[in-house]
Amino acid sequence: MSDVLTIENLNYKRNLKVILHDVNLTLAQGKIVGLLGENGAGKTTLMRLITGSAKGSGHIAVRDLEKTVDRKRHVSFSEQLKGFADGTRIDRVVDYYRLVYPDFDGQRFEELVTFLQIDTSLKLSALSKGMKEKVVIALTLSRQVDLYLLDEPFSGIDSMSRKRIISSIIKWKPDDATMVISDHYVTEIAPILDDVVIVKDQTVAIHQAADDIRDEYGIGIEAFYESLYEGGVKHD
Amino acid sequence: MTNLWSAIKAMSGSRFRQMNQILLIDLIAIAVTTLWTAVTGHFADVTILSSVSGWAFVTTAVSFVMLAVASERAFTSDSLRLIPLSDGKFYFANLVASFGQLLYVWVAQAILGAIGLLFAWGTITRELRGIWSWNAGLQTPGDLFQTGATLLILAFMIWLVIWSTISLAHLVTNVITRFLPRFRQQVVSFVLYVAIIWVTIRLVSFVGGLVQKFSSLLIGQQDLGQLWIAILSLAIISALEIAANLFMLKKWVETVH
Repeated sequence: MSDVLTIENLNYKRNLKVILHDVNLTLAQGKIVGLLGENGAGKTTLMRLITGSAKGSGHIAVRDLEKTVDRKRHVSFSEQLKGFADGTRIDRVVDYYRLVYPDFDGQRFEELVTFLQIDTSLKLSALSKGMKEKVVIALTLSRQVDLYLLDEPFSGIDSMSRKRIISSIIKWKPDDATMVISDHYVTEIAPILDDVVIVKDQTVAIHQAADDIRDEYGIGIEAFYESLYEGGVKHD
Repeated sequence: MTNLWSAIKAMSGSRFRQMNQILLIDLIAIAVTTLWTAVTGHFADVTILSSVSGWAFVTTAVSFVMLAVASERAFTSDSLRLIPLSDGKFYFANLVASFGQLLYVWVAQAILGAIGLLFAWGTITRELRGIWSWNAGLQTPGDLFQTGATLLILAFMIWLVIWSTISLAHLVTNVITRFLPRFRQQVVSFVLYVAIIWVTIRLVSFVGGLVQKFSSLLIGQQDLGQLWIAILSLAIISALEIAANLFMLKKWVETVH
């Protein structure tokens, strides 16, 4: 199985504050990866560095391609909706996607819209938080890429919407693509994760297969994650 | 990879809608002014033309500012910066999208002006006849075309320098604030904006003056030659600024999170 993402010696500083320090990470293709960490740990920053939205030092390669423009071509990031005016209608955003992303699959988007029960005639300002997340998921998953980055897709939304989003992830993630889901609530995504990456103390503290964590420590992903922050789990 | 034309179209969409809103307000303002003039009993054949030309300044100024804001926001917007496009192509697409819309507003203003001119034709031709007869024989149609084309290129270069200077001020401020502590960042940003705009204006006038001084030594004092020297100076300034903007865009400018 080849690697879809390789990060070496990545450092990022902003406003004289170190956000990420000496990050090294390699992700294999076809996985669902949970990017876990408390608020402000640097999960979003790490995703933004992968897409080139943030500028750090070090090496980032997606499918062995380091140039930012090549990385953007292979990555679909859930932040793509940021920048649209609130008064923009969803179908206009979809037209925009069709125009700028040659890998946008209209058929897949229609299927996701039906599954997630999205009304595309609405304006962005008329959407509830849960509905907005569904739109983001539908748009992000409608691109045919190697790496999907979903930044906290479940924050502040009801359990029904959460379950639907999780189902859509399982159903529409291409088998050979890798998906990174960042969150600090672990319970609901834990069962679908293949790998767990924990960001702590400005770096990737742990990268391990979810099954290995369960076998090695005899506890669930959530308990493992919490005990790591409480100092209960020691890891090299 | 995203096609360059698709990127230009994508960037033009919201700007086109904005420009249409401004033009609609412009039309309403012209109609109200003309009607008011008629109601007060002062309507003449030049009324529409003076309304159009009076509001044209406001419309072009507002559209210029709105387009500059849209253009600068593009550099820090995730929805645009995530498009798989190299920084050079992104910058070019952003520039073309804004210039296209500015041209659209100017053409719309020219059409409105032409309509106003139709109503005022009698008065205008009487006034122009005197000026035309006074100027007759000074320039051939060929000379007029050449002068007109040179002036249009000069106008475009002036726009390009203003546009790249705005971007330079914005991007330098963006980059500097990234390396400053969060404390009182807004105050520092404001001071920086003022300082950078001042420094940039000084720099542009210094470089422009320098180039003009050297080139006037090389070329004679012909009027059209002077215009081409000015065009060349502006082209050098804008090329330098665009190179600096592209460098910052590639190395440091991040999207607003």
